[in-house]
Amino acid sequence: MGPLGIGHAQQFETELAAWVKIGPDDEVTVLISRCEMGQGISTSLAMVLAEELEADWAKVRTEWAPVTLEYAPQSTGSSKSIRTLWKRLLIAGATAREMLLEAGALKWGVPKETCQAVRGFVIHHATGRRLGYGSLAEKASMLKIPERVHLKNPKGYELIGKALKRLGTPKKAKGELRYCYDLKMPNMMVATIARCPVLNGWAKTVDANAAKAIEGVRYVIPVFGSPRETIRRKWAYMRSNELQARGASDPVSPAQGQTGSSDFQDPWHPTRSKVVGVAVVARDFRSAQRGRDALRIQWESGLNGNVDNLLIAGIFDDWLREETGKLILNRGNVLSAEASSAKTLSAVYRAPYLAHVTSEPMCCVASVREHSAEFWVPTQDPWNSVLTASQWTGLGPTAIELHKIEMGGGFGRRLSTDFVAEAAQVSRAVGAPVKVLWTREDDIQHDHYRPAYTCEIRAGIDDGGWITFWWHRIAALGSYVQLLTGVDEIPYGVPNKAVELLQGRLPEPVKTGAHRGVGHVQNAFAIECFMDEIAAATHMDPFELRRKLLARSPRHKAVLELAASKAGWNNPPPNGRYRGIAVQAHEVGSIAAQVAEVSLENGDEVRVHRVICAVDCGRVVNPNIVESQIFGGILFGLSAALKEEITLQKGQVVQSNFHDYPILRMNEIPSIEVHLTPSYRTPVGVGELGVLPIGAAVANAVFAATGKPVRRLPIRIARPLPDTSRG
Amino acid sequence: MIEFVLNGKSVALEVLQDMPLLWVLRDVLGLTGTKYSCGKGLCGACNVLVDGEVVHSCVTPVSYVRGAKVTTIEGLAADKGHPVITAWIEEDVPECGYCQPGQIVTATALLTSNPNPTDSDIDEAMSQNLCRCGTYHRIRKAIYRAGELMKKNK
Repeated sequence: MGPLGIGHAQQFETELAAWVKIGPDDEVTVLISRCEMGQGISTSLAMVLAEELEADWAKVRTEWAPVTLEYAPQSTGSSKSIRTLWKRLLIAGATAREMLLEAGALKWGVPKETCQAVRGFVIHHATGRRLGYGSLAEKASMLKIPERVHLKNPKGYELIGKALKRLGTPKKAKGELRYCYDLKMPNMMVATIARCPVLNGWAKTVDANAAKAIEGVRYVIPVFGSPRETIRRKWAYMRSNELQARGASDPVSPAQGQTGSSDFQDPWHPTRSKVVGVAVVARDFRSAQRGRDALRIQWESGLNGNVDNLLIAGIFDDWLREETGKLILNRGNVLSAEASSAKTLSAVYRAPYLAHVTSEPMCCVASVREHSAEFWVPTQDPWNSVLTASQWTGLGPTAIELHKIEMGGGFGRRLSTDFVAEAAQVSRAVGAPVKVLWTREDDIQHDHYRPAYTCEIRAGIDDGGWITFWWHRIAALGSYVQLLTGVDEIPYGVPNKAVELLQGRLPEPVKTGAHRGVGHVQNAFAIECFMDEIAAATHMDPFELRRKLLARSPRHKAVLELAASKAGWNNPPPNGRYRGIAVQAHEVGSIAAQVAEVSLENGDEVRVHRVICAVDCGRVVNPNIVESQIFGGILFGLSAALKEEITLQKGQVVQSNFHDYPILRMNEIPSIEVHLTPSYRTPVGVGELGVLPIGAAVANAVFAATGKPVRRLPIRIARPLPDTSRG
Repeated sequence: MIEFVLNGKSVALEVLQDMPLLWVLRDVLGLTGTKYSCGKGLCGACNVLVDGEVVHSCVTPVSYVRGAKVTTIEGLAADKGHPVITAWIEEDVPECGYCQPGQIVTATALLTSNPNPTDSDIDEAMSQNLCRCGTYHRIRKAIYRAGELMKKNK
């Protein structure tokens, strides 16, 4: 029995993508084009299609869509899956439903209009006949695809809006789900890689004799840097000049950096001569680890050898003081508004580098053969993984078969494909399937970090308490998405607004990447903390100030008011507790407002007791999943706000595991309430939303407690200086 | 030669004495439900029961379990209707799911010794297990539900 391949003709005439298969046993398989990292997207997307299909939810399964252009884009991030696929999947489901109806009508020789699709059956009420989708699928698949289909009236939704459980839960709760880390296949070997401890450094000499002598070790393979890294090293020349000019101690001369050579040549890409890692390939993880420990490598630090995070932060401060950046947004005229402003406030906010620390560290299985290759990748970006695999195997993209694997956490880390490049090289070199495993130390010390960030906000306030201008100056290194999302999402009705990005001539000394919430997180922290500084300066209640400024933005105002009323904002908090409020919208169109209730333990320890979160994400597809994403987002953001910080010393990441990169534990979580506002708008994603306002909500509560504004993440309350008078 | 009882069955292995139990389970015995996440006994993803007690298998040499009863998530799941796993499914706890076998093992040990845990008992027992997705609230609810189920089953 052939599966029913269904596409839609309404929007894209040439597109005929198969989104659903119906088996003879009535089983409905929805193809999922996005990646699953625990956010529950495969369940939500299946619900959207199944709704219009009138499928029996108990018979719905999911399957990963192949990595082909008809399912593009597959890159999964920025909370965009639901918004991008909502309409396509509704139409695909409705199209399949209409074809099944027609197949039933033809079979019985009755008009299609007299048939109805109900929970997996086509029913002809007049004669009481009914047929399951499975018995009609083959016939339906031969019919002409209707050019237009009618979508259901949302009032009749039976699945969308229901708190259905995730489809993958039982497997996960029984420990049966196979992650990439768990994969096994015939002749597969395991590799771990020694990487230069100094970011962007390389190996000068490698002595692998002792490693090769370890029982179980089969090969020692050089791993080469990506072309991007080669470019990075060219930039390093400029960087060294800038660092020297700024008085970095013991600067490495540019000449030394340029000529630092390696003993290896990449046989396939002679121009890539820098060995950035050394892979030990063994029969199992333990042997690989022991082999890795036995390697004797002389590393070359290159020009990063003198970089530490304070130096970078100092450079950002200098830019803010001395330089003019690129205007990203320029509404009205901030310069003249500043000149005529009665009252001007300014503050500088800082946020550190952050690691992702997915529960499952990075991992990739590659099996590279002469003319083809297979990859098993827990990736958020399948197409980019194929391109990376292609680049490092020398095979065309069509010769590469990519198996998407459910991830043990993503948070943006798995949008990068560095681990794919490694696995491709190692498997190609040994001519067998290889699983490259990262340890937690590898993961924390060689992440693609959330960029460190410094910004200054200046604003003018008139006598009526309105903001006359807003000038947001961001000094940081990273992409626009990482740095600029969220700068203009909250419509506080500022007539003159500028956003300026200062990036000097300093190339990134640290690899950066997407981190759950991207730029929204740092920007919401700065903007919403600054709002509380404005409130303090104008003697206004922080909630009332925001409410007044959002008067003409009913959606934002409603979310803010809902959070405040559920938190009992107008009643004083319990004794010893302090409240902070913050609101932020995500670029996809979802909005969250949060009230955090904190106390200070032992004078300087922030304890968050309660978080009330109001959310407007349009129509809610699955309240169960939205709730869990908001909870998870709040805890992710809270962990960063209270605990997390990556620091660099001499070009090396200082932190290495959970003892010095602590994340939130069970005994540190607040109680959380999530309130969803009813909405008939098109649904938008919430994977990142919960993260956005929490840093500022907690910081503002701390401000309320101490009277001192919080301007730095993670939040630290200065201890009183110890008494040194007695010597 | 090291002998122990794994999920109710005797096993005898020729492995290095200092090989961590985690890698014996995963690489030698092929039981991959027990996860690697930190390798230093800091996160609980590798938790298993040894004679009913929770141990971090990533830092436990296999020689430590000589003659002992080792139970992994596979052993718990073999009991259809295991109250903790059932509660985990009913509360729809997992997001990415990677840390959950370890969470379930720790919760099982907690409930076995203390069928009526309070919030602070749960905090104390479960704070050794990290969840990056942030499912802690549901874990707490599932532990209460599992406690109820255990009472009903008696």
